[in-house]
Amino acid sequence: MSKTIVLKPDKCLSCRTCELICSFTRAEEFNPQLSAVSVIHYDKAMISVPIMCTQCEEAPCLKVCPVEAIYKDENGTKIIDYKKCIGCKVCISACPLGNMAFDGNAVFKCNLCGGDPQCARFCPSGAIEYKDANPSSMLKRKELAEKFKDVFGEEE
Amino acid sequence: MYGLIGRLLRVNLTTGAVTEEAISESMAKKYFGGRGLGTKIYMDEVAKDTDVFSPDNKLILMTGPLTGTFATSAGRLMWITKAPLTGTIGCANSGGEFGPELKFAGFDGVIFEGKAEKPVFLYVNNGKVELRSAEDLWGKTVPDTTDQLVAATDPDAKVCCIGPAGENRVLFAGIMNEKNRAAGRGGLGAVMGSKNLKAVVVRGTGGIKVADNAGFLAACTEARDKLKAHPVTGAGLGAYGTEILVNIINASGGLPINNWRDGAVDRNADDISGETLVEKYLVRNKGCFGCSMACGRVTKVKDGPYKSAGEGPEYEAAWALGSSCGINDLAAICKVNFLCNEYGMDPITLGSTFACAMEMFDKGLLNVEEMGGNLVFGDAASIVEFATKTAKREGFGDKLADGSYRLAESYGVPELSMSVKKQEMPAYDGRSLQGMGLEYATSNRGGCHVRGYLTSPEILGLPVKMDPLVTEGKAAMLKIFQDLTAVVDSIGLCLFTTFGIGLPEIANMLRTCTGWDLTDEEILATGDRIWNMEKLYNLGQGFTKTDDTLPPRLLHEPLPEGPAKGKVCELDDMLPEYYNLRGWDKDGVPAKAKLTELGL
Amino acid sequence: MIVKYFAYFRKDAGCKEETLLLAPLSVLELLNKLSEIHGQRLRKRLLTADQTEIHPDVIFLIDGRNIDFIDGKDTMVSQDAIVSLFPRVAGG
Repeated sequence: MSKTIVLKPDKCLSCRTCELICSFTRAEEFNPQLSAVSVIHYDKAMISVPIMCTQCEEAPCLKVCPVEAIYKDENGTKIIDYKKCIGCKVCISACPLGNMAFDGNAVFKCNLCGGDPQCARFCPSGAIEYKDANPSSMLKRKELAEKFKDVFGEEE
Repeated sequence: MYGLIGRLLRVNLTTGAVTEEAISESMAKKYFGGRGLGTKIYMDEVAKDTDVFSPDNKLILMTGPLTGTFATSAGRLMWITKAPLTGTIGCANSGGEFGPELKFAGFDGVIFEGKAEKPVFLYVNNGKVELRSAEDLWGKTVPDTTDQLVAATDPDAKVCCIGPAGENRVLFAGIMNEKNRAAGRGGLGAVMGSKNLKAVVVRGTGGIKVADNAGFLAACTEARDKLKAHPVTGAGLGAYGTEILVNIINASGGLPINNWRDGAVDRNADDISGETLVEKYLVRNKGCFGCSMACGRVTKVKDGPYKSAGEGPEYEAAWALGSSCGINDLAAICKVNFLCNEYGMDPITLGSTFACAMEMFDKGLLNVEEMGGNLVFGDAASIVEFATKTAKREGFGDKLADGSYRLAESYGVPELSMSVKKQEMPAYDGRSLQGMGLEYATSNRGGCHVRGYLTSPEILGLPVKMDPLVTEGKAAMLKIFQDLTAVVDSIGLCLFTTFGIGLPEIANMLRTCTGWDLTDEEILATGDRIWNMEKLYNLGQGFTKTDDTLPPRLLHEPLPEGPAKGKVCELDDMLPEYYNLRGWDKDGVPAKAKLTELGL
Repeated sequence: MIVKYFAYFRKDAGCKEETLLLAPLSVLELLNKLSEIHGQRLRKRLLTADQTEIHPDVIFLIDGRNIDFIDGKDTMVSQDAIVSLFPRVAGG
């Protein structure tokens, strides 16, 4: 079963550690403009939301690419093959969620760091996690179940 | 150059000229950045007898080599100038996001000189830098100024600015960034106001490179993992914020009440504690740039007479507006803290000045008529009212705006100002925490807790356990803390990381970032160098051994109750040893040999 | 004696403070007693796994004095003592 990025924006600290480690992992530089994840902050609503490519199953970027430079790897991640990419940037227009960007040289998006996303590794609060999406692993369900355990279960 | 960009902006506000200059690698390696490099430049360029509000005074903004990188909590910047409140060297530290953004724009810092004829702001957009009119912003609060400037420049721009307090030269006006982060103490905002500089706006889309990519990543990962595992930095600060200290300092008999007059045990402490803030008013916690600890408080008082929202309060602010004024209304304290952020003013000095006035009122030295209102211990409504009056220098607020020392002295009772070198001491009683007493007396910017935070070993047992009631070992530990803090303040890290990591981890991050071949000892010695440099400045300003002291209350009035009952601060047991360990003579003057050793 | 709980110990003990009628006992004995009263979650916070030492993340004050400067886990707690229990979470 493949994993997916799960976001919990109510835990986001607005710290942008994800942007730092993403840009460094991708480009050996600390630069939010080179990060595939961006933290969007809402002052009055007092909340921040990290956003990155959601690895659509029906990916418009993949479908629209005129040279078929975007493909799906064994983890289900949508990857850009830079040997084929001509930099036409049509994928930027095609993505409905704004998750394809241009860094001045090439288009780029989140590639899940080859299966070990660093944003999830370093997010201090668990606002970004990378985990199995099957029913038995969803931790939000476990939070509710644990309440029942605390009240009705035997003392451990 | 790695870590640092290697470029500074120089802005002459009189002529409007904006120029760029390089930072030499040798200067950077000797003073690092932030507090070190900023102080060095200040001392080299500003004549000793320059008046603090003169156009000849300079105001320096400086980040560090680690600012904006993946290092632990590396978002910090420093403002440096002569402090209006004390006349000592003033440096005030702030977090948020401004520092990193300045580096992304391609600059490590800015030197402001001269004085603009009319209010201006500096706008830095990558390499494009210009001064623009801020006439329509003068008089506006920090949040309004920030919102307007972002709208006028770039939606992702970061803003440093002063509020009405800085414009009105309140002697403890601060410089705010991201609305709620403060370079708070010493009145540096008043210097900015005296130059007609309302704000600095920055937008940067560049990046920062380090010398050893793999090494830096490993050093930062190790440090981050250690912070995560540590109870203070991993869970505590994020969950409860700094106000978590209220109950433990109180239980240790160290929370001064009623202008330190009535001892240091506050029976209502829990009402203003971190636990209570979480229970009643906290929306969520928040982190500065790249910070895993995220101790920031996003706070909302939903109803009642003090209905308000904002960030904070921090521990020292809650104490200053709370216990020190005999107040336990947390909603009122929140409200005043938010007002301090909006007006751009230090809540520690504000609260302590209120407390001083309250004691003077009790003694019959002040009356309601003269004050145009009530400032009495325990009156929560009065601190809200007088916060605004102080920021605007209205009525009695004009006197409060000069801080507790000048207020008390003008009435012939300077001993009622609980300050050192005219800056008010924060929230740890030097009679219960002997080491903190020594820190207040010796800190280069006056009554300050943060530059040598001995509360850490004395109460928290970090990095080692020290008995708060004894004087033994405090001088030696204080020197280490002061030197290490000077390093941290010069490289762009947040001081709170030192609860969970130490010199080895910090040194590793610095070395791999910059490529500088420096040992741990050499790095700590840089802190010693910076400390001595600041001391030389103060000596040059006429400060002597007699200023390295404490208010009479701490030296002569024993605590009436608590675990430290009967104690005063035994400063005389610690100060000579401190001078000696620092390599200074008996008058606290650095010996020639010491200065040579440090390359000063 | 009065036992006061702070930070997340309040959640684990289910209260901010409690008054207990106990004969004088050592710090270690008291921590075991409190764990008996309040259960496993508090026990894990207060004591090491083998229950022979105070958990290193606990700050234990008797009338405001840290037991590190009295007799550690062997310090006797008197009948009218005020005990304050803090997790080591503070800083500022």
